[in-house]
Amino acid sequence: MKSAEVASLLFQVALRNLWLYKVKTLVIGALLAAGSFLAIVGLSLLSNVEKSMRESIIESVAGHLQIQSMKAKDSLALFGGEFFGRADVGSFADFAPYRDVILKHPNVDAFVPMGLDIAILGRGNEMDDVLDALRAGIATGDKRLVRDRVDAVVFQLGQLSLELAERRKISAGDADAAAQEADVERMLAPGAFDDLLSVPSEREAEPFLQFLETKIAPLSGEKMPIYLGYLGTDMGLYTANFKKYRIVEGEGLPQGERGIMLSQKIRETQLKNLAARLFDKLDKRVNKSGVRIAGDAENERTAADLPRQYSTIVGQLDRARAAALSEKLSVAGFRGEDAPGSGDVAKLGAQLKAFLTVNDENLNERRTWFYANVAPLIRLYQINAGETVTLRSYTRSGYIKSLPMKVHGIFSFEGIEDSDLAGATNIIDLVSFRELYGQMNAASRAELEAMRAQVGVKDVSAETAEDALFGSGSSGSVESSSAATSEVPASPSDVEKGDVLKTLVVKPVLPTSFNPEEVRSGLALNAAIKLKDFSKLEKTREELTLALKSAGLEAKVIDWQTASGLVGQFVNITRGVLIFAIVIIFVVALVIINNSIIVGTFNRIQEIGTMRAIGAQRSFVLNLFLAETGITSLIGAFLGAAGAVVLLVSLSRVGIPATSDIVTFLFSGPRLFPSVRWPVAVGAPVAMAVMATLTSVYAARHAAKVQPVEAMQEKE
Amino acid sequence: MFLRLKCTCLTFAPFIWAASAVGVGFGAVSSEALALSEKETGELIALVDGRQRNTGDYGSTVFIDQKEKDGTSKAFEARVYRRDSDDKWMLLFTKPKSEAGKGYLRLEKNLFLYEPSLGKWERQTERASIAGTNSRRDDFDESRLADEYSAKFVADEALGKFKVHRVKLSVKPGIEVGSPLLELWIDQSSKNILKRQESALSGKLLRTIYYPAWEKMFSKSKKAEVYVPKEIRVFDEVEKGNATTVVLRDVKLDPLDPNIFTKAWLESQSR
Repeated sequence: MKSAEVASLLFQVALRNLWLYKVKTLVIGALLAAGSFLAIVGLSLLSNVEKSMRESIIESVAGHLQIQSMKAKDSLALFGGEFFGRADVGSFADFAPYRDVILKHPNVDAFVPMGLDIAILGRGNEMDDVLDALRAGIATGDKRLVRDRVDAVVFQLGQLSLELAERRKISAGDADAAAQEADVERMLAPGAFDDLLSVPSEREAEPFLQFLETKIAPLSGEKMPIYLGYLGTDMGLYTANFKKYRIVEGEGLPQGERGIMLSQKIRETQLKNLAARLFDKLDKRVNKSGVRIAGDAENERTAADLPRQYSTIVGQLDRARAAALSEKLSVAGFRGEDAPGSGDVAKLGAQLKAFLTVNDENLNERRTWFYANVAPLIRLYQINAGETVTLRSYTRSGYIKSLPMKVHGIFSFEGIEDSDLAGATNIIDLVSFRELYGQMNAASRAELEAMRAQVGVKDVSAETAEDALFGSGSSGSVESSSAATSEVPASPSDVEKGDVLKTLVVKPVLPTSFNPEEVRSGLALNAAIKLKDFSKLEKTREELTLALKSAGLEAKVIDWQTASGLVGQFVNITRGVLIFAIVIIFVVALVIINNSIIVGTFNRIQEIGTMRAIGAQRSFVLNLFLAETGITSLIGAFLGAAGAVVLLVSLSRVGIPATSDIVTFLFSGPRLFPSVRWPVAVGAPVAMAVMATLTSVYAARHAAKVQPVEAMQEKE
Repeated sequence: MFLRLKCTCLTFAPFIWAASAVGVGFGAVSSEALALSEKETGELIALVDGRQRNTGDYGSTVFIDQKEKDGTSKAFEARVYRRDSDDKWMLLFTKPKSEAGKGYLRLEKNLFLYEPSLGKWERQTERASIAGTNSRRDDFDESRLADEYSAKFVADEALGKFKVHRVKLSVKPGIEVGSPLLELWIDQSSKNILKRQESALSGKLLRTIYYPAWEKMFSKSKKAEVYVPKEIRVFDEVEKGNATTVVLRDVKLDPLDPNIFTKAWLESQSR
């Protein structure tokens, strides 16, 4: 027989057998289909997520590559590392030589110096704010202004009185608490502020103001400080190279200007009124994630916490606004009839508590009412564009450095606005970053040296201190006397005699700009490198490493995935899990295929023996079994592939919704629109079919060894 | 995420309380003594306290220079005003320019920070550091060595050219202090502290402080002499290489303007 005829016969017999042993064929085919489906869908989705995440990371902060000092103790983790704490990522005292080497590479498009750090944002309490306003009002001498501000203080005292009464329930019998409450009640007594209302001079009002500031205001408690992460960079280079950066409010931070761009996400999650935040949280979970309040522990906790935040609203209102809000609430049906007292504060508190009590039915209505009627009366955000805030940061030496900074605007990363990960950092200019980091500029260094020279202190080391200060070179006496001052008590004019007592004329310096040349070189902790051709990333990374080494510059060049920290490893972990799952399915399929052939061989001994008896060669039997497996695998795998392609194509039209902030970041947006990876869609089923066929060789050879006589013996 | 603090702080206590000391006679302790009894040692420490305690007003200019082992440094000049009778003090920065006008005002248990560039006051927390150092407001309390520590004479020895009494102090039970163990090297002749070492309870040495210059002044409010350190050298024994130098100038013990310890006064300095 010609080989073509043999092949045709082989094919026909194989098809007949597959039909004959349908169950086995279906089981094997289904396994291969499932494996193929999983491989194509999984790898295609993974590829799409990787692409989206890559875009999020590369186009927001990381760039394609990052350089980091070889002396760094910790790895760079732009989106958060493994541990809380301030990582030691090293620094470059002057990044310019590194930049010059890196920019020479033909595939490098840009070099952006940067550094990450964290600052503390201090916060006072509401009582301090109204007392500061009162003090400022008295300084103006404006009677009406003072009256309004006294009224604001009294209103806050009313709220404080209620809070102290609540505290008393917990700490009954505490003498200090009783005294504090008595102080507040004294201030609330009619006529307590009459002296202030006559608008005395600030000096005359001082004892009364100090009493309020030192005895009453501390009772309002301390707020927890807010920690703000920030990225210091060359704003010109940054905005030109990071496409996801988008200003949503205010203005941008111009090149050469000092200031901070505040992350919208941070403002929404940390700097917004707490009642508003809880409303937002419930809205997101109920309306976007579809989790009802009733029956969900987290939502129920949030809903229970909401009424307690009435004080964050009352605390920001003066009497007029409070009255306006109370009126609106009454009209809306919240009359505050269950108020614990008769005062305005008590009534408004009761009204707000009732209003802030939400459930699945009223959540949307209440939230809308809140933003329409409450939000305009309060300071919704602690920081707004155009304001100046004081950032405090610990320098490398452990000292606190504070810097007033103008908030130029609010920004977000386009497409990943809702992502906590992408919103974890604010952006400041590189010069301010260096100062907060503890580095002095040339002018500061010169000033410091001038101060030292003026004082004339000699340098003494710890090792030689005793000898230098008390040894042979010392004067032998540590004591000197100064002229005795007058025995007569000082008059005001005496007070002004010494320099130390003279009034100072110190002018605070708040630099708002800097020479743009200052960010062309100098300190940076790390730097982002943008490439022209992403596909050459690894090759470029290796070449840059070599180029820096050749230039005698020690630096690690790492890819965006490594630089991003744990987030960047997510894709690797997911890929590992997926491949593991596919391998498991495939191994199971192969074991089943082998077993079924071996079992089938025993079941088909008569058939094989008969075939052999009528002249079929061993090779024919071998090929028959391989053909059966090959056809089953190929059909199963391609059916699975077809299903995967259909699913991916339909998902590419509707998109996969991001169900959490992390998934939003991974999807680089609220939805992922996956595409089919055609090389995987074609290659995976072929590879699986080939593998399955090859692994069935052993079993097929076993079948081919069956002798014709065995068929005859069986017959007997 | 949080921040590591190194123990490289400048504690103000040694110079603030020393600077606000009130002098008393010290004839009770012989300058020629070779060894001190327990009673004499206690009297010596009480004397040191007494010389460094002040209930009147105090004002001075202070220069603080901090150098770090990694080469970074920080220096500032400030005016310090203090009134112990009312438990008030004020620190007003004059240099460098970036800090000028900034000030701390302590009124009883309240500590306020003024930011002149913003024209804003901020209430500081109990544990807030002072002046960008790790100093806390309780570091500004006056010297209470005799009240807080039990003193034990160690030896009479030489410190350079000076004959000194070396005295070891251990914190008394139930009292909270920054350093539970202290050693003082007190000049036998002048009774000024020349050297002070602070250790942890484990005995680990934390800081060594030298007082190479003192000034004797007459306080008219107390009608007694006051001993003020003019220069203090602080060496960190944990972070070796970190050092702080404090120089006090223009010390005045005259009564201060009653309105000096007010927000309005501090604000007026930078208007």
